[in-house]
Amino acid sequence: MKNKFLPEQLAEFEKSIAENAKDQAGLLKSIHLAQKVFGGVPVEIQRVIGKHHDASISKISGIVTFYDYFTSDIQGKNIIEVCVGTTCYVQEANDILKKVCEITKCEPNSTSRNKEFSVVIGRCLGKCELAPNVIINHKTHNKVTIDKVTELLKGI
Amino acid sequence: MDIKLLKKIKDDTLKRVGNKFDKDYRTNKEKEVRIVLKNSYVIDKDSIDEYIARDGYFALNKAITEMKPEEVTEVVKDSGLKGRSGGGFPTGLKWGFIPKEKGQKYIICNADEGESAATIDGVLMRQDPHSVLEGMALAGYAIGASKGYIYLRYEYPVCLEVLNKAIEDAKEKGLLGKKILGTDFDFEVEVFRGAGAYVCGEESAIINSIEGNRGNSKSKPPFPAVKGLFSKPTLINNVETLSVVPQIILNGADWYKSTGIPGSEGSKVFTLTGHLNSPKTVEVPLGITIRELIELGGGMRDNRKFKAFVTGSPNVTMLGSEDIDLPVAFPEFKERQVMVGSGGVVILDDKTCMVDFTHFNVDLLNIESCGRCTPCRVGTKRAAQLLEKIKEGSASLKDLDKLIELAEHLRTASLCGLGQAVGMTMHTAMNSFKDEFLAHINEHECAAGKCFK
Amino acid sequence: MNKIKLTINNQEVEVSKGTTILEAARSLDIKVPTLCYLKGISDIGACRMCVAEIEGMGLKATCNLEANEGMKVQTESEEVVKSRIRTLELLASTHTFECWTCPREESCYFYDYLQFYNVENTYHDDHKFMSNTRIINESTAITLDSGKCVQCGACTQVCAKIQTPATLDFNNRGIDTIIAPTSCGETLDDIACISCGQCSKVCPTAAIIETNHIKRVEAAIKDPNKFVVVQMAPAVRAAIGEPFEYPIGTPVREVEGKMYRALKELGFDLVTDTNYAADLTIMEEGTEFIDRVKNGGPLPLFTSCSPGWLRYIEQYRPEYLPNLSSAKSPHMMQGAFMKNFYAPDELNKDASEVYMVSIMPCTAKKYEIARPEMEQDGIRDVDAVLTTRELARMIKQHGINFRHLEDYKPENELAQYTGAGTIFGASGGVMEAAVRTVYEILEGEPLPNLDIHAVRGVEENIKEATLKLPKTGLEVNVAIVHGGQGIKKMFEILDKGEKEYHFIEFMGCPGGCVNGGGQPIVREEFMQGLDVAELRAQALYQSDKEDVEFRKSHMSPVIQRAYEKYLEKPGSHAAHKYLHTTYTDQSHKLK
Ligand SMILES: Cc1cc2nc3c(=O)[nH]c(=O)nc-3n(C[C@H](O)[C@H](O)[C@H](O)COP(=O)(O)O)c2cc1C
Ligand code: SF4
Ligand code: SF4
Ligand code: SF4
Ligand code: SF4
Ligand code: FES
Ligand code: FES
Repeated sequence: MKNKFLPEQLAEFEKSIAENAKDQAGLLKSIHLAQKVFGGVPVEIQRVIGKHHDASISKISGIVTFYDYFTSDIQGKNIIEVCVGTTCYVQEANDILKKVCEITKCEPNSTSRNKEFSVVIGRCLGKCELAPNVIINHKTHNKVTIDKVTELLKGI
Repeated sequence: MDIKLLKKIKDDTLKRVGNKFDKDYRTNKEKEVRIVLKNSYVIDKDSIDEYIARDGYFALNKAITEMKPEEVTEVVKDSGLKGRSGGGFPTGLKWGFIPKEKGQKYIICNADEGESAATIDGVLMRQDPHSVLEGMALAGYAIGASKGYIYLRYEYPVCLEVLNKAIEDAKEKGLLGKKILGTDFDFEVEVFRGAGAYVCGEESAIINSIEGNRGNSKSKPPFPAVKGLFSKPTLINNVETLSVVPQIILNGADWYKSTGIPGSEGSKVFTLTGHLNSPKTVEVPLGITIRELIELGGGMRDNRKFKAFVTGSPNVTMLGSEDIDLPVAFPEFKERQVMVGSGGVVILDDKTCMVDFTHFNVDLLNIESCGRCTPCRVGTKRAAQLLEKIKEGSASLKDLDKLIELAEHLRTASLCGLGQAVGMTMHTAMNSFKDEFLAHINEHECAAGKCFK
Repeated sequence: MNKIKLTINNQEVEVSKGTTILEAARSLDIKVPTLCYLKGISDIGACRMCVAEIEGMGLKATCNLEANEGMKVQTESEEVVKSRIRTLELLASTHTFECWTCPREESCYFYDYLQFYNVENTYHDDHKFMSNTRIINESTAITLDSGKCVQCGACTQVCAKIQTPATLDFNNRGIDTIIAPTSCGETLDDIACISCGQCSKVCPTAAIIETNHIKRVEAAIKDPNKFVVVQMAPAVRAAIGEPFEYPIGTPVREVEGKMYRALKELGFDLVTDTNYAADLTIMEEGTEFIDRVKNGGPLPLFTSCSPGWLRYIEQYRPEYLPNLSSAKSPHMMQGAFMKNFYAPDELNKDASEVYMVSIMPCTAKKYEIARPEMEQDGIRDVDAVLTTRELARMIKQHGINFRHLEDYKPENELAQYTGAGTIFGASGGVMEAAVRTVYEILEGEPLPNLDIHAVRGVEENIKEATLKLPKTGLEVNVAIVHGGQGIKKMFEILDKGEKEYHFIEFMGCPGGCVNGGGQPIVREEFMQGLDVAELRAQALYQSDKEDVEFRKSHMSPVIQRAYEKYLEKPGSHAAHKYLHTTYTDQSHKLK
């Protein structure tokens, strides 16, 4: 197995998802929790989730890969989400995305080799009036330009 | 909690806040109305008391103490309210489809707001969460459901907090939960977070998602009204649709119908974005023309020429400049095979290349396709590639024919609304901007200078 | 009230409420093409091949749309055909075509539809449209090939609903959607699949196939230093005729001789029959059973001849491993016996020279021969496993005209068998064979009626019977379990401990080996009202009754000789060394 997790962390996680398992609508909640706690849902974690929710690992894998905000890799330290929703796109968000990828040495929707950055493509962040938008480590930045994003990335 | 206490909270709060509620955020008081956004930007979103002071939960009280469930549905039917998610399906009619038999039923409030450019549901949930909760409770009473889920898109963490607090407050006051307002009506609400998938705004995909599956769409029938969440009858409505229900119940169907035009009763919130001077969110009566909407957005940016009115992205339908005086209304739009959409409007100026814009949307929709059915899974990809060929200058008229054929195939053979709408998107683009497509193919000419790079 | 009238292609038809339009059309013998529909198992409506025009509704998929009173349906209108062609064009644009070398060349539904609708591969001429990367995921038993997948989902449904491991699912979204065990490159060996191959039988294309052993067998045959021995399982003869247009359930005697002859012509040096070792298995397993009854368990004894079942118990219920018989499965016994006793002694061949090929109805056997325990001093008991399908393919590739072959009857001792060995291929067969021998050993007199109907049949996935041994004073409760769902259910019963069993036969595939994952493919469309497993099983029972000299394993002279000359007695030290094996807890496998 590639990934190692602290036993205490795992134990606590298992406790929470055992609770979720009682809820008919609990499976996605458990995956959300895993994504938050571990920064991703690799197979080892998928197995733990499957065990509690009485689902096969293949089913969990299928779910994890379906949704954008679940990843089967552990994400990087800094998460940069560039919105390429329609409004942002018509305001040249693609150029911003390109720049972000260039600076972070990261393909869109993946994690850089040194695990420093993950670049995520957003599909409308709900702030279209202020497009284009970028979220860096959970903080939203509006009306972003190439210069501005370069500046912001320098800061981390 | 009972009506007396509710009135007392109202009076006390009104005294406390003074003239706070007189604030009017509208820039154009003639054209804009305040129904859906009655409380937004005015009340403190975290204060249930301020919501009550604006007659909040009075409708719920009226319904469950004075009206039979069928009567609630009847009023909604009479009001002419149509689904605000874009399809315009009559809301009361939908409520009436739910079987009358007793048993577990569910309400799902569709807060996936997947259309980019639309931020209406987000505004409502952030600014006026209780109106959504009250609307859900009313729907729950009308159809006999005791549990509601708000399927909230992942991108709205603030809404999550606000809604959760609102639910707690309402429960504490006995306005949600068991024995609401001292009656026998129970109704729980839970916020369920999506995880990033456009198709999970589609009804059956939401159900799959809550049940803990991949968010694939399912074939209909069976419709959710008969076999929905956990195989139980389920009513799915959009946030904006539900949030206006309390006012309809309180003020009556006729009051609601007095706004808007016949066939398109009431008001609609639009987020005006794109190449405008001042993009913003406005609430207007249905029936307003596109020209008026552009004016509300401060007119075209840099005085450029208006080129296209786009709704519902990425499943876009568009209208060109010749339709600038068309009223924004369900029947009128339907006639042109355009959707009113959930309120996200992108205004495009003449610097936009429609081939490029169509390509962007179709390409995005392939990524968003759930991958279940052949036409959409493969067809959207091939369509995007054909459009790419046009953009590169390697396409022939044969490719255009292929695109037209694909659009038709997507529209008629796809399993769910997503694939069908991609077909519509392509169809309206190639219809409204045919010359531009032809110029690209024959002349390698892109007026916007976007293509052939 | 419960009947509905509708018209399909202008013919009126009456069906019961709840019937789909597709089934209604089939009842009129109207053919509607389907790629993703499996009656009673899958109706996800993915492929869109089954569309029809319904008045007032436009095009609709018919496989999951209930018929309504007065519906007017057209299944062959111009619109409909056009739509199907476009769907096929799109599927073709994602497909890796290599039909001439494809294991499904003759049983590919997709190919048939492409041909029937005369579909042009319109997206083929432009490099731009090559968007999907082909991923080939090979495990010991099963190989997945995304380049040939039409994303019908049938495999996922069968695996989850019929077999229960649910080790295949859709991953990703949009054009990148792919069928895989996980998204991280795990193979079906790495995760708790049971290698049963039921998924490969419902796949309309070659996207799931048995992992190819034809190549290594051909190479062995060509190798002058190898003495290539072949054996074939009981169930193979119940189905080998099907790829050569014999009807399902053709009597064994009509095809068995041709099959032996075909093996000769393919160049195998020696033809033997797994039925021989099936008799051997009964001796070993039967003795083990008697032993456990006399010495206090552990009971119930579980049979051990289905490797799919072995994977199941090792991975999912290892706590029950002590119940499992230690006897190897018949073909492994045959391999070990041939290499370690028979070949050196009677053929003058060293074990290392012998190359053992098993023809099996089963994909899991490919996994089984790779189990680390299955060898002696570094020499594998069996070297290759061909499925029934693979054998048929080889025969065709070599241009052998199966139907016109002259019968051949191998003389070798290891090709002689009793009826008990033959019925191993049917669910309940192992139990019936065991009972015939166990009864006589314990009671000391012949079993009054050899046909034990209570353990036959495939309708229930758990069958039960009680065998009375008047002299010994025992009542033996037996059960027969087949298919993953049945196995799961049986464990739930055992967990509760309410019922006492002594002997349980377990088979990984529903219906037993006759319906194994390596058997010829029968299209869902043609299965209307046919129970394939039942028909094939009948062929075996008929052979047991009519074709053989002996019907009880212990009566077989060749088996008696094997014990006299080599193995001493069942359960002896030698028998244990070569014919028995051990099991390990595999519950760590991803699941
Ligand atoms: C692909 C697709 C995406 C959709 N996304 C949304 C959405 O994000 N929000 C929404 O309210 N409705 C969405 N819908 C419409 C819903 O399926 C459903 O019709 C709606 O929630 C009904 O609400 P209404 O009757 O109140 O309009 C979508 C439909 C499709 C086909
Ligand atoms: S149309 Fe698209 S989104 Fe809808 S079921 Fe088909 S593949 Fe999925
Ligand atoms: S799966 Fe079918 S179409 Fe594909 S290569 Fe094989 S025979 Fe040809
Ligand atoms: S071989 Fe059997 S267990 Fe494995 S994936 Fe296929 S159906 Fe499932
Ligand atoms: S692998 Fe075969 S059965 Fe499974 S989805 Fe693909 S084509 Fe269908
Ligand atoms: S499109 Fe980027 S925030 Fe809406
Ligand atoms: S959609 Fe009906 S058979 Fe595939």
